[in-house]
Amino acid sequence: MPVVVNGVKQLQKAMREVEPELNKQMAKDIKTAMLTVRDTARGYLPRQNEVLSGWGKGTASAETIKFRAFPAYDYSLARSLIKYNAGTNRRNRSGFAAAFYVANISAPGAIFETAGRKNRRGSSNSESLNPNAGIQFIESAESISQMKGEGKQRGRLIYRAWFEKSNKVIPAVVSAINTVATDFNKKTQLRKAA
Amino acid sequence: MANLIVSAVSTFDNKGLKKGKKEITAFEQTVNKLGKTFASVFAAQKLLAFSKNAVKAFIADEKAAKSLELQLRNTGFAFSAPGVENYISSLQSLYGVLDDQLRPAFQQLLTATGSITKSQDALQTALNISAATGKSLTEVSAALTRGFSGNTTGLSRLGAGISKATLKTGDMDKIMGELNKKFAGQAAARLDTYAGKMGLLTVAAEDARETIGKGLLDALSLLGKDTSISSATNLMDDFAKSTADAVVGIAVLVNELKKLGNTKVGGVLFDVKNIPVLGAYLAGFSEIGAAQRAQTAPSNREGRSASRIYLDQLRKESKALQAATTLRKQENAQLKAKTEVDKLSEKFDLERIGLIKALGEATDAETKLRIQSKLAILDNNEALAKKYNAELNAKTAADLLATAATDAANALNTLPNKYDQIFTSLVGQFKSMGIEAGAAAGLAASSARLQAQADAFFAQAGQYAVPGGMPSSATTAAAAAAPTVVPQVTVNTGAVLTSEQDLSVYIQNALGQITKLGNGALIPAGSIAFQ
Repeated sequence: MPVVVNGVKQLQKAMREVEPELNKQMAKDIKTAMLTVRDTARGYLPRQNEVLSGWGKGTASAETIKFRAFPAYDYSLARSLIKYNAGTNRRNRSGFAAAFYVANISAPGAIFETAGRKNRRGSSNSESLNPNAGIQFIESAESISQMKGEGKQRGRLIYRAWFEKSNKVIPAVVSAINTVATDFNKKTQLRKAA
Repeated sequence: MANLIVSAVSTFDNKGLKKGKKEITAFEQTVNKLGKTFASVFAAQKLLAFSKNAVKAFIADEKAAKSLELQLRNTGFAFSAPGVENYISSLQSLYGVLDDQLRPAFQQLLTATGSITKSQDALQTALNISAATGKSLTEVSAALTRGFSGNTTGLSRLGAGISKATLKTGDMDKIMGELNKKFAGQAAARLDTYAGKMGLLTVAAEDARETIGKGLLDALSLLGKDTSISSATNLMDDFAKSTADAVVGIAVLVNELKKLGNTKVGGVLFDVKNIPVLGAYLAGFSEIGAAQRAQTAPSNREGRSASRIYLDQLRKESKALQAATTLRKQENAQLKAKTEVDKLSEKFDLERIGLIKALGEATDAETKLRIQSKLAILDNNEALAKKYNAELNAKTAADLLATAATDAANALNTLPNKYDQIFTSLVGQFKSMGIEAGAAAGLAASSARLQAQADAFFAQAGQYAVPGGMPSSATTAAAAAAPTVVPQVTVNTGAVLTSEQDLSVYIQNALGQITKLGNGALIPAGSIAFQ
């Protein structure tokens, strides 16, 4: 789970105005910690020839099925779209927003990340002529990268990387924020005293 | 696609939430307002829909009633139409089956049997079969109708268990007998079931709906100044008028609720006056609506079934009679109660006490009667006073009769002496005139008899006297009632008659003279007489 830090936004805003350099330092430290997660996640991505041949070819088309065509696997695309973002994303319904996050935003990357998370034996709504297609796809993905994590934070790429690396990343991030915050307070106190 | 992200830092920002909350509150308020608006519009629509349905129900009911009435008229039973309508109405409330089903069933049976009595019996049987088998009344009555027309196939499918042999005979009397034997009392027994009670409730609700429909039509006719039902129904689409109708509908509804309010359970629940503020208005509307309904009732008459109108009148008259009887009973009860009070006060009435004491001490009947009369005057008891008056009059008459009888008896006692004296005197006179004793006695006896008759006549003259100005018939009657009398005439000849021959000549001369003058009673004036 991410660390919930109250006032980060305000701190960033204040730092941008008073000590822009401190803000940059904090962003740099957090990025360093988070990039290990991104790189690890990218490392779990299967190569183009590792996935099931059909998925790699992308034979399904919109004309032959009712819905959007099943996205073909593209290693380079999936890899490039596992990226780090230093900003904050959109607030969720509870009012929380993620800051300094790694996201997996490509369709094939997301499929590989979550396939079998809800149903280990594949969806019963599958329209494939092969009744075992779902199971075969999940087993294939599972053989490449094991799903790790809990609940909705469970997956084969970024979630797995976060699950494995968070025990190091979170203290590093907290440390970076604290350091910057302490420095900021010190500097502002000195200014006030002066 | 769901966001697949892992983040080291999450921030919590409730600014958006606050904004969202504000927006939600505003939205809720808007929704509530909208809800209320929807509710009112929906209620108005429901009311309109109910009004339309009520009018439709009333029109359908009237149509069916009129159709039956027409058939009765066509089959020569025009005079029985109100009776049949009453019969169907009674069945409806008795068995909890709607007249919408009863009327067509009866009509079908009437068509097949051609007899009201037979149709009524068959309808009763159909109701019993329907209650027992669970089949609809329409289905059963249709089967019976076909049976009366010679087709008994439908009867075999009713599941009534009639033997094939009986059905094959086609004898409906026999079949009906068997059916009655099997299913008698089923319709009444159904009333004890939940379905039966629901049926009764449905009938009451439908009746209420038809009544409301009639009220709405009356109101619409009043608004549209047009008495035809079709025009009135078209007017239902006009919003303003529909609203006005709804008000009248409410009035009728309130009346019905008032009736419910008279029940033990609904007494408190359904008293519209208990509704704060609105209750008073509703009660007011109810009264206005009731008065209006009475005024507008005749306006739709051309559209209504004559038999129903007649039946309505009969019911109203019956109701009025019942009300009058109830009032009379109440009045009698009040009078009775008053008498009890009077009895108590009588005990302390000194005048009455004195009179009652005198009555107890009185020995003769007349005194008793007078005291009783005084008591009657004191009590202001007209009936008793009348009785005592009559008795007193009778007593006076009886006294008069007794006096008259005594006088008559006395007179009778003196009469023989008088006529003896006349007889003796005349015998003496005749003898002195030279008439021999036998003839003198004969003449004297005749004279005495004549005198007696004359006395009798004059004695009764007072009783038979005819007052002046009375018609001749009365005179004739009096004369007829009077005994035949020969008046005694004293003749003064003015000469001394020495013999019987002289007397004879004298009389003849006198008669000749009278005849000439024409004034005598012997020959009428103007007639010719020969001497």
